Amino acid sequence: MRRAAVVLLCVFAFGALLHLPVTAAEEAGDRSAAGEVSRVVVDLSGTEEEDARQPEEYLDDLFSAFPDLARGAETAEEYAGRVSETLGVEYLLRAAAESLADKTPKIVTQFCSLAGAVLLFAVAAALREQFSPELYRAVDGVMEAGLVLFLYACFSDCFERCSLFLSDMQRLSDFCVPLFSGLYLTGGNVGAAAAGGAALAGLSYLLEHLCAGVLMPLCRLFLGFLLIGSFGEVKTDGMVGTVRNLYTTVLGFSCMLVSASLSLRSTLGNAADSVGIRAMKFAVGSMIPMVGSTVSGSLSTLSASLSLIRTTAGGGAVAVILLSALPLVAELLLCRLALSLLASLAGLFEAAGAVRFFRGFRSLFDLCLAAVVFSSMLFIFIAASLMKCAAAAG
Amino acid sequence: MVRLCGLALVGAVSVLLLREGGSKWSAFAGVAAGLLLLYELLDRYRQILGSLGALAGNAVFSECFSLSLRALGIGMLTAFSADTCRQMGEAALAGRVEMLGRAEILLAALPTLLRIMELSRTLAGGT
Repeated sequence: MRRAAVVLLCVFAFGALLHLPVTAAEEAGDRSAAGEVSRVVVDLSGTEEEDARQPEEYLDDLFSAFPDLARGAETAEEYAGRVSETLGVEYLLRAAAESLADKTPKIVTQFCSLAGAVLLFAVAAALREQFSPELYRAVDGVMEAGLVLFLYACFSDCFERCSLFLSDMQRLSDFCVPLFSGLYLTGGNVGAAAAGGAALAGLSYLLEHLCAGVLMPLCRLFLGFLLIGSFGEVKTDGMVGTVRNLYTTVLGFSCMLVSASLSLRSTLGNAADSVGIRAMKFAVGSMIPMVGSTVSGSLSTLSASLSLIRTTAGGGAVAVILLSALPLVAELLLCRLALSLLASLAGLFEAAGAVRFFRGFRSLFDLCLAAVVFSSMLFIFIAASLMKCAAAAG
Repeated sequence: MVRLCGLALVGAVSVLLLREGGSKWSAFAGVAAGLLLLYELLDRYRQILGSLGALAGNAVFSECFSLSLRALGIGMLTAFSADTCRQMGEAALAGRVEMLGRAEILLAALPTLLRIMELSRTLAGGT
């Protein structure tokens, strides 16, 4: 009687330990693994979807945001090879050099044209003594208006590319939520799936509201003020500098919060998942005679496979971000360098108005560069968490 | 350059001689000498300005370049006229010439200024 009670108790405990929140294998019933993953992902991400999309549709939309350099893979093995090649230092350096070589001629041309405008300012400054103060102010104002218009024509497309990059980043983050969460869940990392999905959703929110919703309108507003400043003595240097410092502080603080939250939640979630899986493995190995010990080996094999898949997916995401951001960052840095040189040149010729406009535009590029680098680094951090997260089933 | 300096010296000597002779044509001699100098200067820099304009292949830059040159040219003519009026003792007329010169500069820049105002309104409005 006592022995029967012990057997019943062990069976009950075994069943309770085997009850995982989500399983990748099919349960008895009609639900498929993809549908189960999508259901859990919907629950984790907090979004409501009336009709569950197929994984192929997610992948198609995901690949549409890839840059041309990251496309072209036909098979999974070829894709893994391209990811491995792309994440190499040599490839990245070559891509950076090609980006610089591609952008440099255009920026050099713009630099030379703007240098010519600065020389015109110098000529006007040399004629200052011959003009009356009122006449000089009229001539100077007209030349400043022409310079600002030319500056806007030269660099407005760069701001549009920044806005497009941030939109692509947001789209990529949205589509990576189910992808990353699914990869976490297949290894039994329920806590990490929740943390990773929340981090990506948070990144998407930041991109939508902080970058695209605040940065781009702010840049347009500053451009407007710079243009208005060409009419009179409106000084925008202090305002631009103050808002630039405030914006970079907010960006840095947000980055710290998101990364700290992701680190803590991933660590705690992984620990909890690991405890559950290890307890289950011990119970199965102890209760089931002869074949129970093979469960551990099977799970280890599964863990190794999942690690490969996660590393490839995470590495692919990092490669996409790097190849998307490198040309834009190179262009922003080149434009910033050109504007700094032009400001110095204008200062040599005592063209105070031109110096003010060049420095104002350079501050705008600082804002765009901060947003691009912030969003890229945060996404890379989240992808690296996926790559480093060991499967709980291993 | 030697020719310009020689022209200026000849003009100065002519004005001095006419003034000492009590002639009323001294002021006109000074204006004539100044006009000749201005003509020589513009003739010398016409080719250079034409080359610069050809190098300005960018449509926006050529528009800004021509606007800046036009403003400078109007300013130089206005300054020359105002100085000549003051030399003849007509300070009020010089002031009016300068006012007309500023108005002419603003009229020349009006299309560009309207374009900037429209652009500012669009940017600030977020559309």
